[in-house]
Amino acid sequence: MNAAAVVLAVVAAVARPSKSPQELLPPTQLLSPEGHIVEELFDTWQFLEADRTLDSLARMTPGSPQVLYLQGYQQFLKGEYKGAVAKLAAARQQFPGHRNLEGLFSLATAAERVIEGHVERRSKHFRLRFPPEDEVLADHALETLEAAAAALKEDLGFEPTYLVSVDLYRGSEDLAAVSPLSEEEVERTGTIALCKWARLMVTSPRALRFGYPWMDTLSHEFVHYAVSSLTKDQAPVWLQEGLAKFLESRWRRPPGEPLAPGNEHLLAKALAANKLITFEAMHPSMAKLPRAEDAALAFAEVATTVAFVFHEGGMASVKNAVTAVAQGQDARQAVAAALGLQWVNFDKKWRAYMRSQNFKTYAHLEPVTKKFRKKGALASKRGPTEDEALAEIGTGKADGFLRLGNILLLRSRPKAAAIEYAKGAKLAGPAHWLFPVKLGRTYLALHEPDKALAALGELRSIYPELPWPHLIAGQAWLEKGDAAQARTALEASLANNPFDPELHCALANTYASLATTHAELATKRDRARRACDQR
Amino acid sequence: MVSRDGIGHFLARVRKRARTLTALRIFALAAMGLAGVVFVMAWLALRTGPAAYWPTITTTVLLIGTLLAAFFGGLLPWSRLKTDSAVARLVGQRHPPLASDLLSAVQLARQAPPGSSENLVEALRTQVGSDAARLEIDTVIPAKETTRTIAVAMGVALLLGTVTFLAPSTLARGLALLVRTPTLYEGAAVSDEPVVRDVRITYTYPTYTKLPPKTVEGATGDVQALKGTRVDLEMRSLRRARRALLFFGEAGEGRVLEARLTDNIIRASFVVSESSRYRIWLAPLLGRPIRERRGHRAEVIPDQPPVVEIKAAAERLELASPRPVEVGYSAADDYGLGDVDLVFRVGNAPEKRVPLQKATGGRQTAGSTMWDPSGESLVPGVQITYRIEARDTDTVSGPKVGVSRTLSLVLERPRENTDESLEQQKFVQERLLGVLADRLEAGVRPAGETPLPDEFTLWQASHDEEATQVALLAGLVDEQRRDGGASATLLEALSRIADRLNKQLRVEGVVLRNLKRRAEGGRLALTDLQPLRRMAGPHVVILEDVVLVLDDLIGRQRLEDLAGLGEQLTQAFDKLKDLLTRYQNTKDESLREQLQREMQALRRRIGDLAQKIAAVKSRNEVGNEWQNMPDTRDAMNKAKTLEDLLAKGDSESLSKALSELGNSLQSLKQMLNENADDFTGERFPKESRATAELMKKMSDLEGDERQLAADTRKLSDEMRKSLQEQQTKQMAAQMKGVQEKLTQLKDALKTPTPKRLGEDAADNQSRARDRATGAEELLQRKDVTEARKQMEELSQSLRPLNKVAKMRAKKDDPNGTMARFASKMEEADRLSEEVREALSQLAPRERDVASEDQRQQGQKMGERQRAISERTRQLAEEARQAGNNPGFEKAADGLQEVAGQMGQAGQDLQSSDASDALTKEQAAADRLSQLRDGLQGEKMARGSRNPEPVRIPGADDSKAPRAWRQELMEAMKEKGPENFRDAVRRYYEELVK
Repeated sequence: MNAAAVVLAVVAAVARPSKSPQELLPPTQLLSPEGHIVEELFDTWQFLEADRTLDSLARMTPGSPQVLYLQGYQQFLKGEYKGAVAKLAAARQQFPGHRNLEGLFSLATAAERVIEGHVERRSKHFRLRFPPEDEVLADHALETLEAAAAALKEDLGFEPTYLVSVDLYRGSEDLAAVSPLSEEEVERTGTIALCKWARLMVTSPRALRFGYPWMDTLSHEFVHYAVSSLTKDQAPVWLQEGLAKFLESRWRRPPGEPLAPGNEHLLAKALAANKLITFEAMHPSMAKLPRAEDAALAFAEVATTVAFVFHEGGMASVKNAVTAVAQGQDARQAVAAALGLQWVNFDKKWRAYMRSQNFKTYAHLEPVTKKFRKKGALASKRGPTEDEALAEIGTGKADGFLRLGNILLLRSRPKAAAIEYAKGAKLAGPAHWLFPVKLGRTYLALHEPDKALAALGELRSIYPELPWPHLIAGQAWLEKGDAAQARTALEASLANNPFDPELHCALANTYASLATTHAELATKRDRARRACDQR
Repeated sequence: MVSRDGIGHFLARVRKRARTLTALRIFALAAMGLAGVVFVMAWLALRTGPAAYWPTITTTVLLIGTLLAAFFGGLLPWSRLKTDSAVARLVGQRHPPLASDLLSAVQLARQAPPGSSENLVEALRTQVGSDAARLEIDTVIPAKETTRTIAVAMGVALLLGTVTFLAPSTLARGLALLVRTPTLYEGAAVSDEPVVRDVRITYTYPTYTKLPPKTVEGATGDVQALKGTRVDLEMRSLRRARRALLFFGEAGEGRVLEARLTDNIIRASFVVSESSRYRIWLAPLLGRPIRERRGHRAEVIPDQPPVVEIKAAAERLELASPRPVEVGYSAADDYGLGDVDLVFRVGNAPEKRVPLQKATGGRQTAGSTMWDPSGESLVPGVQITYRIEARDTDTVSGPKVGVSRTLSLVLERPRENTDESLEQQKFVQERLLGVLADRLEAGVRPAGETPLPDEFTLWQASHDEEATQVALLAGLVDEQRRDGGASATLLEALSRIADRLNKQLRVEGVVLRNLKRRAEGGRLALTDLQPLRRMAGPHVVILEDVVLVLDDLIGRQRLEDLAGLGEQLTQAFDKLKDLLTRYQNTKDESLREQLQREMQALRRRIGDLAQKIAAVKSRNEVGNEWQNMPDTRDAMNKAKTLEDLLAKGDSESLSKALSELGNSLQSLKQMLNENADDFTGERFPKESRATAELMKKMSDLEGDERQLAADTRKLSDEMRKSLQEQQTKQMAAQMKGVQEKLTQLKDALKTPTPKRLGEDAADNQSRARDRATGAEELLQRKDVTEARKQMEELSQSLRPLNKVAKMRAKKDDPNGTMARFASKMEEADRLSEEVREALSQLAPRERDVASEDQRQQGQKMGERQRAISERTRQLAEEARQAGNNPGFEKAADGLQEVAGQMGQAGQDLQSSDASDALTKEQAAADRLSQLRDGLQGEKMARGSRNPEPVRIPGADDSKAPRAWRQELMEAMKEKGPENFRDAVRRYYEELVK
């Protein structure tokens, strides 16, 4: 799974961490020395200890503004926004004008507002709050997160203290409202998820033009949660992102997933030209790198750094590195020491490791950038469709063929549509993924699954973050009677865009075929059927 | 007792005749005399007028005359001839031979002397009796004198009868005066001299006028006021009096008002209800009352009905389809405006009203409204007349109605035809799409796959279908051109494509005809179809183009149509909001009913929109990426909630519900607009860029103009300040002189008006005097402008007076009273001119007081304005040259107008008339803003649907049908493809029908 884009998307948020309430301004007399300790513990993700200290403080001075503020902070971190707002409001009444208090109050208020009307669903470790129209992804999300939690427990020995809040937002506006980023910054940097204040804040895949690998992103953000908790929030950006990137697919597969073609392509080029981004250059934030391409390359590099540690010393070394950072050791020293090396040697060996991977470049690769959908498209509550990519093509005459193909396909003239798409594909060249997708759809309409698969070519592997090649391939495999292959493709599509009813229908049929041999799939079949029936 | 013998009979007869004739003569004389006296008295009464003594005199004269007549004609003869002796003496006087005997016989019979013989006496009596019997009684008592007297009396009667006949009314009036007791008015002596002085009049105007009470000192007593005004008069009597009355009417025939009299000060109050005159009547302590000869005017100044003006794009608008019409109005009333309504009538249906403004009580109002007649029941060609009506607030005589001109609106096609037109376009597109698909599939079909005859039939069918649709396409292009609004570039492209298709079809037609002949001859071979296959490629390319252009055209119209519906919803909401505010303020039941109707209409519209959205989605009229349609259920639910609250009368929750509905509709509109705009931006990038560019430039111009206006405001404020300072200084310096002249003027105007000049002259003089007093008061309040107006009015009264006085003086009395009066009036005229001149100098213009620095500033700003004007003109030219884009031509016209306006502002600035310039600059900036909005809202489909209102400045829309016909005629002249000429001709014939 290529999650480079995800990494790119979250870089800004993680690389430029927002100021915590403590950092907004030095507190005045609101907090006593004990109060400062509690606040510090919350800030450094040491929730159990913080709770204990706060309890004793609350017993001594119940209802004091300090206690109200800290209890509000505690509630906020637990995702209890209503309670947090009430406590903080009471604290404000007694101690007005305190910057930290005011800042936290406004964050809690915004957090409460943006999830107004959301539906809540819980699992063992997680509490997911999502817009009602996104219900189709709720169970999948919780399953993903629990799987990720299980994997991280195994890999890093992490188990969350609190019930982890996961808030799913409708769009960039909501994410901007609860984060230090403006809406314009969110859209420009493609930020889709954040892990901050002991909660995961994730934008719905419905908000993106092509959806996005939302399951990996949930997992990615949970890795941040785990690393922040384990290191008392001392891990530098590069290590945070390296670990998150490396471990984001752990919910679905063993560690060691190859780089996505986009990242591989960049890394291959950088290695060939010996133009890797140095770790120094990544400081203080990857978002400070001059080009988006540099940031993506940096992500690829840090992912391979962790992959190298894992390759050399297994997960135990990765875990050791994290533990060393938690103990206050420099991250680079900690990582190198995990393999019994000095940083200089580590660096050499890591570079050699990368070269040994024989990363390749892709001639016609066009990186898929994350673009938010138009407000109207969001308001219409429709799921993303590949037609929204039309504006991306921008190839003049080819656009015309695409439109003609679409019109003919909608009028049930697939043969003619296929001719037009073929003309367009020829004109646009191999870099444009939309024509193969359209051709694939058209051949499916003509009940020619082989042609559909052929039309897709290597699209699925080059653009794993696009949902439609997976969907079409899944439907084609299903039509060919290969339910196992169909499942893989369709679940890959689900992991990018769960809002396509066709997908759920195909999944239902696939699970139905497989359920005879795999009884555990019956639940999934029924769930997919329900989603399919809601068309 | 003396028995009746001959003498007795004789004497009795004489007595009777004598008495009768005397009575007749005396009564005739008496009648004649009395008649004459009465006539004389009547004449005297006419001369002297009604007097209380006349009935007494008349009665006395008549009584005395009658008594005298009775005495002399009845009693006296009766008494005198009571005894026989008296009669005998009378007879003896008339007939002496018998005198002694008769008297003796009578006396002897009554009392014979002692010793006289009865027989002798008897014999004498017999003798005398027989003598008397022989006498003719007529000779003894002749009737001649009596007859003559009667004749004279009758002659006099005839004479009086003739007089009566000739002047019956005069006589009757005179006679009436003799018998009628006169009124106090009539009975008073008439004074030519004033009887009062120091007249002070206080006017208390009716409440509705909101005017403060006004007091006029030193007035003439003439009153001019609104009906219903209470007038309090206070004046000093020039004579000591015990009673004072005011007599109304031209001759005191109206009501009589008892005045209060204290220490010779007369006070009276009355309410002016009609134009009249009044005279002051004074009863002195002793003697006859007096009254004024010339009355004072009590004139009702009419409360005029409001003056109402209406403005629309044209006197008679002809529209192809219903569109909102901007109706501007202004109304002014002398005292206060009531309700202002737009009144319209559809055909012969009853009139309907659209309330525009509730009574404000202000004197002026102006505004405009977007009147949308589309909600009415309309038929093609229907004429709608409309006007503005404004009422005043007159509570005294009842509100008066001012009515504007009546304008009219004719709707060619009241039913909107967007759907119909789109259906036609869609039909053509679908069919051509079918042909395209067929040809595409045929192009890749392996040769020989289909049996040869079927293959040929397929080619032929595609050809025929395409030919039919191309003819329809030509019609559609014309229709779009006619409706306007569509991108001319797009239509040109479509037209060119249709031409290319025609050419292609002609060539293909030739091939098909040949092949048909071969097929009919059984000689058709597979290789014969090769030319058709070779032609298919270019043909398909053209078909692809036409399908795409039609897709753009339909998509844009459809999305703009939906956006238009969204726009209409928010407009309807605004109307609803306005109504609700008015309802909450007034709780007027009719407003509530109107609200409910509007609510229902709004829900219908939301329902219509929902249906259209569903149709667009289900029919895939636009691509998936453009199906970002809002969910109308939220708006519908909120509208229902509002309607329910209204029905329940829950006014507290209404505002919240209204606000929620507004937000919902706003977001709905925004979404539809964005969808349509995005579509246009993507599919018509050149056009969008050009529009954006033009709008940006217009925005820049507006910004510059507003900046200039802000600078001009500063300059204007400075100049106004200077003006006020100058005015204050000048006023202080000149006021004394002006006051002196005004005093002189008032003195001159106090000269009594010669009677010979008549009442009009007196009125004019009185009015001039009032104005002079008014001007004096205004100057005391430092209201120079109003004082100047008063002086102008004074001149208007004085000029005719002066003229007529001069004429009369020259003609009648070169050195007498009239000449002196004329000289005074001339002096007054001169003084009034001097005062006016002085007042004009006290109210100078900005340019007169501008400092050198301010002048230079004005010059510089004028240059700036000229530069902006020039840029505007250039932009207008650019817009005209790029006129293919929708709305550009209109924008070009508008920009040209704005440039002119800016030019005028520039001239004002150069002349240092900053405030005039400011007004024009603001207007220019506002117009630029309007033009930009208009360009923003210029939507292709909305042009045929509704959205662009017919605004006041651009009356071009009214020419649309004519322009359309012209274009149609020109289009008809262009020859179509030969094969389709019949179809095209039929199409035009249908249109022209």
